Amino acid sequence: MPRVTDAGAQMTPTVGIRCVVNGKTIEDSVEPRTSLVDYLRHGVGLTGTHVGCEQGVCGMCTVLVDGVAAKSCLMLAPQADGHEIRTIESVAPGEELHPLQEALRDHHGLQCGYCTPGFVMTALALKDSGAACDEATLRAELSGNLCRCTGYQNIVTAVAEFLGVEEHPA
Amino acid sequence: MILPPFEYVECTSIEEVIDALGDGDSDRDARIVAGGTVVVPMMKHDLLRPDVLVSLERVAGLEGVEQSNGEITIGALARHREVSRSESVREAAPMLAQACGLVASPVIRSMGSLGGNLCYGESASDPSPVLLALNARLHVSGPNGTRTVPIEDFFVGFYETAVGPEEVLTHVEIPRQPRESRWTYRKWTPRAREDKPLIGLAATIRPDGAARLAVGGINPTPVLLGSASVRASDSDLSEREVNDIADAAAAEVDPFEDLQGSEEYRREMVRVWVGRVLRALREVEVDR
Amino acid sequence: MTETLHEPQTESPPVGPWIGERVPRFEDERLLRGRGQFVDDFDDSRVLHVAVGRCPYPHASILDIDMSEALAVAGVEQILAGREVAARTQPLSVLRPLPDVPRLPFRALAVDRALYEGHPVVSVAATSRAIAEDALELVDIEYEPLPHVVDAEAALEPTAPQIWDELDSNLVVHNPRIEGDVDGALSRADARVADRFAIGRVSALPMEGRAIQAGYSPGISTLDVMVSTQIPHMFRLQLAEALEFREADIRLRAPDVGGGFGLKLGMYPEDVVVCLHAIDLGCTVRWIEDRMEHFRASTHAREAVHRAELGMNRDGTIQGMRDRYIIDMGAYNSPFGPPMLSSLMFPGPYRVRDCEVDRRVVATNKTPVGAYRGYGQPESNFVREILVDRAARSLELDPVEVRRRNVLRPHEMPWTNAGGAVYDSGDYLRPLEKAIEAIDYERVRAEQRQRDGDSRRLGIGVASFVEMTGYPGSRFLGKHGAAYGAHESVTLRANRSGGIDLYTGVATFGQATETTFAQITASVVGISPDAVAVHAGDTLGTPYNVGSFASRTTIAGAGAILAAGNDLRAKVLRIASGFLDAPVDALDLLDGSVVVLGAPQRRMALADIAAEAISGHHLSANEDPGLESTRYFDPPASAFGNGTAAAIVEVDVATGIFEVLRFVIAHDCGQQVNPALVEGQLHGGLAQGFGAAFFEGLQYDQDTGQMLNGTMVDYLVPTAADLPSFEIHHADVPSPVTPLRNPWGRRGRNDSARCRRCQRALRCARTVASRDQSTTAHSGVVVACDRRSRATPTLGFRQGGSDVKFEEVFEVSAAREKVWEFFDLEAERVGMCIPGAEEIHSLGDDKYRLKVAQKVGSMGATFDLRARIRDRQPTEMMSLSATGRSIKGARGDVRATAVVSLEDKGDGTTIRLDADVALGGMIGSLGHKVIAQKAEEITRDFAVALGESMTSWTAAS
Repeated sequence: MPRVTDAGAQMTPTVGIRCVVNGKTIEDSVEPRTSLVDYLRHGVGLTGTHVGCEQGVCGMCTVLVDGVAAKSCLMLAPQADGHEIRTIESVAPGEELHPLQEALRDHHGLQCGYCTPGFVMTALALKDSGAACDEATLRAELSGNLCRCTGYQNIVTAVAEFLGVEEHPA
Repeated sequence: MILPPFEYVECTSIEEVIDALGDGDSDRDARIVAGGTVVVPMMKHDLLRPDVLVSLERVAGLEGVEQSNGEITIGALARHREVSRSESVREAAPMLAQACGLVASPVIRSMGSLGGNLCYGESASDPSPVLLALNARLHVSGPNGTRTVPIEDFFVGFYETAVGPEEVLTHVEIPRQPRESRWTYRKWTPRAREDKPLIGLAATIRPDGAARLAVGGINPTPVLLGSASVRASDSDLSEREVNDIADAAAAEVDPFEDLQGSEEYRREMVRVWVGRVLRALREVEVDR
Repeated sequence: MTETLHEPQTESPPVGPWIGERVPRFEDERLLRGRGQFVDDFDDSRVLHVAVGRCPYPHASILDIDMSEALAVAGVEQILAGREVAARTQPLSVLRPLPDVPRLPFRALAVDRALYEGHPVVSVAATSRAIAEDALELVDIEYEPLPHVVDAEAALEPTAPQIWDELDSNLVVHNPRIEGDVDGALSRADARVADRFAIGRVSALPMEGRAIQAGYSPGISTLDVMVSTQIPHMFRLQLAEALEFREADIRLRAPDVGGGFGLKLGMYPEDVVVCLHAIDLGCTVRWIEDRMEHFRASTHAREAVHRAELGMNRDGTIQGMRDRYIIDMGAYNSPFGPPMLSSLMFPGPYRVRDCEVDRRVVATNKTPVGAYRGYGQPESNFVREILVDRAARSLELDPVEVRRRNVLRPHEMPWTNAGGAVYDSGDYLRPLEKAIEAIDYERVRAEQRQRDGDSRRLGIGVASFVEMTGYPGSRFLGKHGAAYGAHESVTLRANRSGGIDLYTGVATFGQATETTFAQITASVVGISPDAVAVHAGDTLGTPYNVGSFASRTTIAGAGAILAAGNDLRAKVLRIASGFLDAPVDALDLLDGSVVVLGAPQRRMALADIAAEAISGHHLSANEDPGLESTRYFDPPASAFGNGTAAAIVEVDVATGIFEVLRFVIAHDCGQQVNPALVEGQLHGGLAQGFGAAFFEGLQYDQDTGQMLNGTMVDYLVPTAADLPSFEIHHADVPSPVTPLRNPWGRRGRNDSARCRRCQRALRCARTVASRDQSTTAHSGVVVACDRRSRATPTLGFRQGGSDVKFEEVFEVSAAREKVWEFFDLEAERVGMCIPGAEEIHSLGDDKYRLKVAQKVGSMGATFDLRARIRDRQPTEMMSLSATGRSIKGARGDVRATAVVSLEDKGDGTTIRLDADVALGGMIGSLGHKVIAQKAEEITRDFAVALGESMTSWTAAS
């Protein structure tokens, strides 16, 4: 929402974007300094993706851009132009939960739930990329998603089950 | 932490980028953005407040990895993940594949570009010491044409590179490495996994014994350890020689200090890790 | 003071099967789908947003605030500052005060003086956060930095700057306590060990920062508040007091909350200010804390220095202990800070009769400290367990055997510890034995001995603990000045769908109250948990409640549910008895229906009973309509969780790199309501302990007083790749003081225990490179100490700084009087000699304003500075000071002082420039060496420019 100002705050031109979000085409005009996560949350209204640090460290903001996991707090809204974005809301559109979500529930892999969408999107991308083959690699692949509540153990168990990765016995 | 306002310019060619960088008066601060994993955090941390961001995302000719006769050319926009998985890089410069596979965390690796990592001149960079050890050449384009910068001349100062304010890094060239060279890249973070390297040590030893050791995260810039790069014959380095080289390396560096470690600690880590790297290379069986 | 154990309550125990079951959480459905509703998820299309301007210095006078430029920005609706806010509000209240602490007024916005970096000074409400932040940049605040102190021990020195006028010094309170004859006991001990332990400052760092939204309509007079908090009802009380509002006119709710851990216990300054904006503007106003603010503005935790001592006899029994410690409180008393329980729980699970704990709380110019998991217990556990190990080692005793000899046994319960806490019950030996067995202790010790002298050695750490959870009753809290009671309450209301609606003021932020309360209700009443709908966290429609902290909610809540559930059950049976024509004792309520025992075809569904109760059509004459109950439960005593943790760590002695091979915890929390949740809490607490032990620590520069690592890049919490798998063993002993006792006696799950257990066990287990230290034959356990590091827990860290002192001496050929004239009359010319100076003008009265641009590497900044000539001794000396901040490029703040001294040198003059420049903000934390080099460069160039300018001036005049 650019404003004309008399003093101080500058006016910078907005940029047009056209992208697909959760299967729906969106055409819009954004202030370039708007981060993608802010745009998704407040511009598009998809608040399932969260903001945790705005520095690309915590992973709360993880979405899929063209199928690849990306930290949307580091992306500027204009950078979405021409890309396909998927957020947590697209994972279980109907009554049934996605098997990954079921695994997280069954293994008590969430407490406050704030980091959960980020882990889900990261794990889905892992499934496609086939990157993780054992527990150590899996933990490394998840090292870009922080959780302060769970100590990760149950998250790792759930994601390992979903990916078919063998876990070390506890 | 909303970013301060800036103008965003999309370019489709290098010429457009150079124009956009040079446009307007000298007071105007224009910066390049690619993946955003360096620039955006710096802006969020209030270290940079450019007036203009010039996007490279759509510029043709900056992606990809090409291989020709053992020499590799990597576009500045190639993502770390791409570099680490590239067959060509794994074959001809495996040390770089390894280093790029260790940058930050998995998602950052698929968002961040090699060029971006190099151009902000941060000392604690994984690819930088590797490129120093591999004697890379960097191609830069600007209003006065293109030029080649040897890697040793690239890191000019603290967060400062040889790329001028109106120039753009286009690609990185790695010369053919002799087969049967031994190599290793060791990264150490004393704390958590996502840390920058406290020390990132790259070493190659050619069959003729010539060695290049380079280190990032220690000096204000990534540097070649000149005095420690040693002539070694094909036979193993003795334990005494390894210790001498390690001591020389520790004496040679001029470490900065920050929250990761004091000056003395960095110096000591250079000594310890150079020793370990040389010992490890001594044991390496060379692939045929 | 000894607490007596009250009689256990006489409610009947629950009947149903849900206690102890791993019922999947009801919260998960929405959270997994990203449909949770955290404060910032609510629609904000008609909401104003707030940005808060904060003091960048650790201590500063606020001389002037000029908002005029900021107010002119379109979209800015209001800007508030300290004086106005102070005139309309009361200071923030303290909910859990320390004994004998004087009142230190904490105003919502700083008035005249800011006491810590991050202290809120102004607040801007605008149509978007972006505009609010842009406008903040234009608010011109003139600060005068004051001497600061950011170290608690230094703050106690007589020469330290005094922070509070209300105090005689920076000592806020001194609470000594001695039990028994400590000096005597220690003097008789065969071994005495002592040390100084510096516990680092940490942040609880929940993944969702703080957030609040307040709405107000003039004329309607209700303040509608939504806030990410752990204690809705108490927050409401605090807000009412601060705003001088009727509590009844405030509605406050906590939606989904993304973690708390003690950080979201109570009201903060920003909360008051957001409400003021809403009231003044008659609309809805929202403030979302960003992470950079979070590090500076939300409470910190744990920082303390302990000097402790322990005596031990040859037979391994502890013979006296003492802990004299200093807590670094920061600048203010937060609602729950500083932590209370280090003193109380220092003796731990051991049989100790002679114990001294001496607490001093000290103010410093840092962010206020608050509660964080364990509330002081992790710190004292840490100190005690290390001393126990050292004493054992000095007597060549096995540290496990020593613990066996000292842990209290069940027949000694109840035991009043030397701090006055009454341990109700517990078998502290069981977890110890379980943990030892789990790690195969003897075998691992043998392996450790074998590897002694290797480059990669093994360390084994064991630590035992007992943790206080909850409080021993509201009267106890009343005596201790708390603003709250120890009780919890619920309303249970049967609905016509065959279920029960449960109303509780408890907020949930991960501990799954929605699920555990449903399980307990289901067990008490006789229905399925998924027939219980829990409505939590809203002061509208819930009975008064205290809140979620101290691991107390399930215990106290269970008691309230038991009472209310039994009321409901009784009424259900009474009503059914009428309809089924059977006496009450021939009926049972199971699986949602009342059945006649022995004749199950005669039954009535709960839904129908509720319908009858609600309509009242057929109730007997002496039965009121309705089917609900509101009950409060006041726990008679604290419950004490306990356990033992053990760790096996492998260490690379040359570098200190270590790997946790195994981590085991054996834990007793009494009857577990939902084992999955208990384990989840343990994992989380262990992870936080791990973080505090190895990765986390907020660092301050002593010279500039500035926080050095307040970003997620520099303050690291553990990731999935950094933590081992935690092995959990249960050793549950039911507690007689909790409502779900025998067989459902329940203790709180242990926050501190896990945190510090992990920390302590890990630290003890880690053998770290130091060729100066020897390891003993037996244990090889050396407490982490890198000889190069000055500050634990991070290895090798040394406080760098961005405070640069430099001097430059140069000569000019002009005579001293002439030189003086130049400085005195040509101040603007002198100013323009500063390298990078772009403009300067005089403001009169020896004040100047200038702009200076400089660059470090590719990062440049233009500074807007206010300089003042402070002192003159004509022809001899002039001193000046300057403050300012960057208005372009990298953000940062500068303060500088300089003295120019003149001396004759032959016909000419020696000019000596002594300067002290402190660079704050992000650029300031970049690296001392680089900044120092730059400063040297600048000073040299300045001297040259000065010389040239003076020469040409002298020539011209």
